[in-house]
Amino acid sequence: MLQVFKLLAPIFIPAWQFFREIAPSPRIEYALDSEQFKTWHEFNLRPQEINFWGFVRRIFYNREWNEMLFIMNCAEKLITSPNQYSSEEILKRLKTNLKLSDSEHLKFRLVFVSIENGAFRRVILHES
Amino acid sequence: MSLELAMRLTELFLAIAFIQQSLEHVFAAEKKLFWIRIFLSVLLLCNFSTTWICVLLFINGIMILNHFQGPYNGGADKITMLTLACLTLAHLAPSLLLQEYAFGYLAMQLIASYFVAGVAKALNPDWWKGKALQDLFAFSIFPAAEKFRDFSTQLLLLRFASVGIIVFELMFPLILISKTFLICGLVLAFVFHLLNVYFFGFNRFVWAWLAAYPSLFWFCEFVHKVVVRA
Repeated sequence: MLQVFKLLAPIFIPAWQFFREIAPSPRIEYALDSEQFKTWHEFNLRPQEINFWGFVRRIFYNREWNEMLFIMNCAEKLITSPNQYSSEEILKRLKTNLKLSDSEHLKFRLVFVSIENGAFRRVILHES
Repeated sequence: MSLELAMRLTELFLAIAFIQQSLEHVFAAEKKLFWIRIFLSVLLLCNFSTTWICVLLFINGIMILNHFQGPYNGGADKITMLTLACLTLAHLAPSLLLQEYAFGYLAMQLIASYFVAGVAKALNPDWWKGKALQDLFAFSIFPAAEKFRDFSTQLLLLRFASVGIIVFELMFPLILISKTFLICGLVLAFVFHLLNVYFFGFNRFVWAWLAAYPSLFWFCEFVHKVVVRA
């Protein structure tokens, strides 16, 4: 019951403070056991550009992008309130998106990016 | 617009919003929950036993929230669940007055969703300078294409856009002045949401907010009647 209340409270009394401030932003990097976990790759589903028809399709169907936003949300939760669920979701969805088989293993790390004094700053805050 | 018509339009748009969201999950691990949501949404579209379908959709919504340990898609999920909750309460309410309270709460939250966001931005000097929008394009996860990151160098354009967004959001409550203001405000809001789809891929927000707009048409008339009576 308490769990239901916790889930519904921000629905009934929302904060609505969209983009009040732009905080350091997560990037997910992964390493594969087939490469002996030596190389880190950025998990990035962002296309180079979007044409008009791509934009129209996205109004109706934008599965990959919304999933990526959810994964990034899990990454932020993993830092602000560490939990097993977020870690498992990131691993599971990385494996699905990278089309890895069950026998293949991967590690991931969370790099938070911001700008300080006009230069990009990258800080690794979590490694699985 | 009568309360009855506003509620029916909300049901139709909400069902469309739920189907649109659910289609993005029908092949994922969580597919069962979303096939159920699609089935219930089709029944809502068909006006079949609406009150109980709303109750079942609400229970389904709680199960989805529990599955993802919170909203899957932030604000869009919040407003769709809030719209559903207010609609369900309005259906279950034993009197017209309580129906009006439930639906009026939705309309007021919808106005607050723009206004509070505007206040939050207006209190941050980085928004007035265009720096917040610059950061959003430069390093946040939100730009939907790599090419959009180039906008981070256009500070003058971003400053102009930032002020425009703040002024629009702060002035949103003015939609209550008249039907012309309401229509102009909602057209601007809809264009704003489309721009958010283009630049940041927030497609669910379009459908989610659209579903709650009929409440504003009813609420605007309701407020005018109350003012005239007073």
